[in-house]
Amino acid sequence: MSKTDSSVTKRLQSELMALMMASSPGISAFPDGDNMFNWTGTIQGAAGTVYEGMEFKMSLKFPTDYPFKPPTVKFETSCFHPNVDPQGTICLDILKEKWSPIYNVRTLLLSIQSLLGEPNNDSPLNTYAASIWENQEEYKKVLVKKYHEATGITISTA
Amino acid sequence: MSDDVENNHEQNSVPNDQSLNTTDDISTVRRRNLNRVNESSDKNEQPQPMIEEIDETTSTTTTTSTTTTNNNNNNKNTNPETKEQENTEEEKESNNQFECNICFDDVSEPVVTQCGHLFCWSCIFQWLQYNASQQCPVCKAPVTEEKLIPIYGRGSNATDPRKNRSIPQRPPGRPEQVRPNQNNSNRTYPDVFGANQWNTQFGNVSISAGFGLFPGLFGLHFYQQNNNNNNSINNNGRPQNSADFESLLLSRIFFAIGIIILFFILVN
Repeated sequence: MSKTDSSVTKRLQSELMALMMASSPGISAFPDGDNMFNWTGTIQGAAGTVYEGMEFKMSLKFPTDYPFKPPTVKFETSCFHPNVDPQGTICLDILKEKWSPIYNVRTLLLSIQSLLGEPNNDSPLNTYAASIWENQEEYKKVLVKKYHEATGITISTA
Repeated sequence: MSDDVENNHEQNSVPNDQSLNTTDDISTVRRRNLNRVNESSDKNEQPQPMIEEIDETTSTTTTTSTTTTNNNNNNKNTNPETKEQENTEEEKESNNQFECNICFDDVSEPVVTQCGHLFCWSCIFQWLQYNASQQCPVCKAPVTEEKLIPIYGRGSNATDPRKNRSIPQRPPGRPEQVRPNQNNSNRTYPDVFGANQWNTQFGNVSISAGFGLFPGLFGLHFYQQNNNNNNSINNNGRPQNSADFESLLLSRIFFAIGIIILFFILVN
């Protein structure tokens, strides 16, 4: 067990290194304290989407058989989105059955970042969000309100 | 909460902005991939074509210039242009040509898939245990243990041998074609039935190619023995009976053909 643990740690360390060395606009992640198996990350809403200007805190929990199994990734900051439920659970295929060990923290966070702007409204966890997605003005209004409730930060709807 | 978030972000984004060091590499490329991959996966499509595409470009670029990536930062999440992608990939290649696609470390006991992707033997073996659909992690092409090609470098014994005892020996090179049978036995048992059938059939074919008339009989003989063994192992009689019947029929047909040929030869 300890041997596999050390290989997991090694891989996570190399991911951390790559993340620190390379430029990753709008995303960041770092282990919680000494525990390499729990990370905290942030995702900023991409420019040009309704999420622009918002920042979401994420939690990443890595199983001991990582990278053969995907990490559990959740929104810690409540996120109003068709594919995110109130507990922060994300519905994204590459976090489940489409997972491949070539993905890493960085690619996952970037995937989630682009999921924000391009939800899959066919299988929503938040049906209300999915139903108003087409009406972007209304969506933004609700989103800004929910974001304010979650973080206390006000974002202009203009 | 928000403060927390801010701090956290600043902490990590500062080095990011500064660094355009040599290691910009993998992750940038992966990000690009994923950006695009994700777009498709949102729509429940397979991410594979994107990745494949990238891989093709990577494999074509072998030479590198390290100064080309500096403009990568600017284009954040908007559609990455292919040129730029190539640049980052070139860099990636220069540094990580021989890293395993799973552990992101230098490969130990390297094996390559038919689709050309490099892995540690232990890594790809474990992945095939986890992945029911038996796909290449990189391009999702089908991967089977038998079709992996081990790579033997000069003095390659220096690298760490089998770390994990539960992982069987790396399969032999293609010319030998013999299945690894030492530690694998427990893994192959579940499909013993199928494997045996194949083997005997295989044997059947090769013999009949060699000897002409007799093979049908001999093949039949072996076949029945095997099937009997199987019967005693798992009480699943039916398919074996039908297999028996088929082989019997086949051997009779062969026998008849043989006699006809013999007859013609004699007549002539």
